[in-house]
Amino acid sequence: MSDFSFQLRKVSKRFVKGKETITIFDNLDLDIPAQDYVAIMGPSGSGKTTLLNVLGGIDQVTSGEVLFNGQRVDTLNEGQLSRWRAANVGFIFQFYNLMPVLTAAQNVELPLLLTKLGSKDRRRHVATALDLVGLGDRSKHYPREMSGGQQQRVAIARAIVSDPKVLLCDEPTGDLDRTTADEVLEILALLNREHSKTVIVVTHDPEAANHAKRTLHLNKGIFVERTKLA
Amino acid sequence: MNHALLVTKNIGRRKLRTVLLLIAIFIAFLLFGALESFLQGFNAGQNSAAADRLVTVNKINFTVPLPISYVDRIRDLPGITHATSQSFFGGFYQDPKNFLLMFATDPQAYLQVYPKIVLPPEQRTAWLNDRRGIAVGRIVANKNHWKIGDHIPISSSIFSRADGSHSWDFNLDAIINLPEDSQRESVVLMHHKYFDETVTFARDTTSMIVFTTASPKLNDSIEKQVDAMFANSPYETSTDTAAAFNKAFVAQVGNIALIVTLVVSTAFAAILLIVGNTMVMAIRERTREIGVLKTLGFSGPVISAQILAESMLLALFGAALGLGTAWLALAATRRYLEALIPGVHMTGAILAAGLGWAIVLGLVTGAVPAWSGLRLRIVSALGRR
Repeated sequence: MSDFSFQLRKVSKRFVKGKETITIFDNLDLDIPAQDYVAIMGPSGSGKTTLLNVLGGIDQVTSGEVLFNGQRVDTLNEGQLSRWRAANVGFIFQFYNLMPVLTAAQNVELPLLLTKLGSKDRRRHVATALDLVGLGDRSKHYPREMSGGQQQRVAIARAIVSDPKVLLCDEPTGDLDRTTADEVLEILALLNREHSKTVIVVTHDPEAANHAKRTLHLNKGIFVERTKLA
Repeated sequence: MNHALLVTKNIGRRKLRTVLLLIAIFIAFLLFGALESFLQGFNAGQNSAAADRLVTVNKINFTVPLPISYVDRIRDLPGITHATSQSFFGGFYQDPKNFLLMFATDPQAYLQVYPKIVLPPEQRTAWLNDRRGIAVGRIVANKNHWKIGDHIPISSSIFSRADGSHSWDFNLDAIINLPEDSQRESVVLMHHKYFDETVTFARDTTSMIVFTTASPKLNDSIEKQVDAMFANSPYETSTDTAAAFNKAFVAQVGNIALIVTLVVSTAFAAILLIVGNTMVMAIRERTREIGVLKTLGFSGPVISAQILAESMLLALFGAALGLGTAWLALAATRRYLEALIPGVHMTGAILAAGLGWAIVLGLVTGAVPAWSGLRLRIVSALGRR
């Protein structure tokens, strides 16, 4: 098995809008080793969210290859991609995207409905994930009864409950105040450091980037700067 | 938690909308259950009519009488086993609104033409030997709280007696129990002889002649034979099977089946549009959530199945409420309804058809949103482009 979580080889992404073809990125190469913690920064429209979508298998590339642990994922069909995402990738969004009709525990349990785990095992996994993000006592609360930071922590618990190898985070602190944002970033760092998760964060927040092992700056579809942090 | 809980949570997320939808579905199936049950009642006569039983009435229409002598002439034809007269009496008990389906007949011959009526021997003997005796269907007896041995005054809205009164005294000698034939359980039968000797007009006549043949295969030829026998006479006849006669009788009220079909179809079409439109809107509101579920690994078919399950659950629950209420209402008023329309009740077939339509409603209203859920692209759902 490859030591890389993700490898992009000459990946291009273009949209046709009317008579115009818009290139998001062209011939992009990228290696993200397993257990890496990468921040992807760049101005709006630079293609960083599209890149995250491509890595998560929720958007198709126009050309090139996307490999996960040495296996191509850009050639998988919809059903195969669903199963691949359920098994390997956890998503964390800027606006949490929790189901308002479900409690915290039920939201966290959602990905486990796709596994063969029995209800008792599912509840055990959910309790572990909520404890890890410090919300063990809020399991029966609905999203509307929680603060933004707490909702984002529930979203993190949902992303890790099925023990995926990779966490893809799209502006995870974009809707949070500084203190709460730092708590969330600490959790992501902990997951990378002590639970060996590969964490890829798209962000505008320099503080968020500071928590990463390295930062990639994407502008007009190319990496213009690569910073390796100590 | 499981997929079923997720479905019910989604249904309950906008309670007012769900309640209004359920009310709409409830009304449609209440109408369906009630109207189909009425239709079943109207058709009961056709369904219970024996294949070998024929009815002869005046060619003009059944309200114009035939000579009573026609009974014997018909009975004497080859291939005919039994024949009886049946004169409509237009009876009512105490109040003209308490209408009775009452006929004057020859008791002995009537029991031969309707061999499924088996009276207890003592009741049979009492009725046959009592000129003032009546045999009463179970439904009528129950409705009016009549019992064997009662002396019952019955009035006629058509006939009068020589003394100018409209009331006749009867003895209740027999009760007809025949659950498979609600029409027979709804009649009151008096002796034709008592009728004939007391009425001021229409003596020696009958409204219709009911007779049985040796085999249903003979029906066609016997129908023609009977009508040919009385052709060019002052009282020409029209002969048909009992089923066809009952159907024609019901048709005089109107094309009940067409009315029921139109009302139910209109209700269903309206509900289909309401529920379908609401389901589409409900799923559109959840586009982002569906995108999130797909991101988590829920496949298109799983999402579609959940949406279909929502629409099916709504349809089935609403239908069960509607059909259940119709059943309860019919059961509560059956005593009164059966006196007017014998056989009106919700059968298992109506219940099964209702649930079948509920499944169709659920599938049709869920089809478009389920398809949308299946085809929805995650990137579009999350509003990322």
